[in-house]
Amino acid sequence: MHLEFPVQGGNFSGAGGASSSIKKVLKQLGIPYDTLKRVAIASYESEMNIVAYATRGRLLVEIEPGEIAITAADVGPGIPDIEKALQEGYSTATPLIREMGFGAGLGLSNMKKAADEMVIESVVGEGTTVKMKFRLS
Amino acid sequence: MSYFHSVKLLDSECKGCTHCIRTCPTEAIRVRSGKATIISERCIDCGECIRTCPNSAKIAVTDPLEEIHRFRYKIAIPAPSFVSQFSRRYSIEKVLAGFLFLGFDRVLEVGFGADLIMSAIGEYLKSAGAQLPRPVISSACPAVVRLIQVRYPGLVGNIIPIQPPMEITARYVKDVVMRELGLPVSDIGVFFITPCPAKATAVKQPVGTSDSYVNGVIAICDMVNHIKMNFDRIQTGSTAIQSASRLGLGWGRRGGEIDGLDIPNRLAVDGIHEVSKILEKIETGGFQNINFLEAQACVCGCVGGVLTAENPFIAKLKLDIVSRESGEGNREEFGKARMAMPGDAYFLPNRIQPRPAISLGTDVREAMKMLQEIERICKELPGIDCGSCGCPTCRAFAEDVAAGLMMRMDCLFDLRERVRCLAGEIFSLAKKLPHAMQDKGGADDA
Repeated sequence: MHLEFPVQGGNFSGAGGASSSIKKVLKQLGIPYDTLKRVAIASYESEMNIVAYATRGRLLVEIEPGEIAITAADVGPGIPDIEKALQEGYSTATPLIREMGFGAGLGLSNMKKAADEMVIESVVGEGTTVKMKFRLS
Repeated sequence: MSYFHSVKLLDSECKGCTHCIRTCPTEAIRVRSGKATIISERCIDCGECIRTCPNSAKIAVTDPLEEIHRFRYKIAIPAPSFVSQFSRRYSIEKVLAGFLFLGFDRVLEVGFGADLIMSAIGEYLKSAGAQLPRPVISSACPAVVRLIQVRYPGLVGNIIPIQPPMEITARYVKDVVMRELGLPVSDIGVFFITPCPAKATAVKQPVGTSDSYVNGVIAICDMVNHIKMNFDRIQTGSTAIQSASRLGLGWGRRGGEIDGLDIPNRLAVDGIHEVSKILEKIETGGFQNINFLEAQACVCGCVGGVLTAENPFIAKLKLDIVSRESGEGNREEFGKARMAMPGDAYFLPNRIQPRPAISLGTDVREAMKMLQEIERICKELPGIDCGSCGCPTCRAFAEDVAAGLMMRMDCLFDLRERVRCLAGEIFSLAKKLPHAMQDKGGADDA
């Protein structure tokens, strides 16, 4: 089944709503807890990345009996150096974002750790799409 | 498995209003046929509905004082929050002696057990520390433990597998009495004086262990009445009373648990809805820097329990005063208890299991089908969560419809829309005149 949640860039106070809804759905589906935890962490981090860096975006969820795919697609500045962005602790966060308690440079690496597969496509000046897959344990 | 609940509904008092369905943290209540009904698998006995019900139709079932006479030797173990219920004009010494006046043979404050547990928690966190999932969550509030089992089942592994103070206190005092008086365990009745229904449930159906050391549970508010009514006749000076230390008593309010822990990055949260918000965040990987989370279902902690008599904030203030005055407690007795308790006594013998009452079915495919149906129905609903259907939210209504428990037309808005369509149809039919009448006017607009 397919679910879609819009995410507004810059809206820190309302952030977390999309990943919270995804989590609720997965609980209702009775997805095993360790998978649930991984998907919850990854979708939250994706949502926060859109909120912190992009203009707007969407979280797309595709659920199959054996696999969950999460795609975070945004319209935003894009990532110039993906390899660098994946390094733990590397961040391009502005002082304002850091002030909000984000921008520790752990988002993408946490997502990569949580997912079984992760592919990042990005065009500078246009936006980023992160595709993640989670196998049900 | 069937669940025991101390929170019950008095059918005769329930007016079918929808106050309770909205405040229930697990969406466990529905109004059906004009009366509230509690979904047993979801209810965590937190007592929020008791707090909210304007008609006192929700009650907590506890034992009456007379129950103590089932036992030859009767022990009262009042919760740390108990002493917070009395104003300055009642001396605490006399308040505790009141238990003896009312027929108990011995009194030991549960704060004493809390004192013992604090060192056990500290040692456990130090020894097992690195392998534990963060944050480690306290097991002391039974409503929070059940909230996690039902709504955050993935976090049961975060709950510290340590017995609550009530159990440790009961076990300790039973051992002492058996040893000192040579009584068989069946002659000894330990009664917990409880601030909340969740603890009453925890005695009848404990989590993480099969049997409780506590034999009965009496509500704090009942005990406060008994003691106040007889206050002038209470004698002090007995040695059968043992109070708790400052730190032990502190467990009766928010922050008391973490006050006694010598570890960095601790957090205390109170109020079941705030606790839920924190648990939501932990599920998405938040609060990894917090080592220990004290979470209490009631505002201000146990002093805010629904079975207490005093305003939570006043009670908290009072508890702070009393605990300051009690100092370090009886250290000699405490040392003896530390020695007497076997090391494994502090640990829950069984793993805490999830209680997934939220999943739609055991088969993912079936659940997905149902979820699609829920999403479809949800889109058609007004989304204003009016509660007229008896469900807490439009989404909960959609879930109940998909499960076959409700009909689409049970939504007032849907019903009204159908009535409107029907009225329109009747109106247009009414305008259709028989051919014989059409030239007598009225047929122009037909």
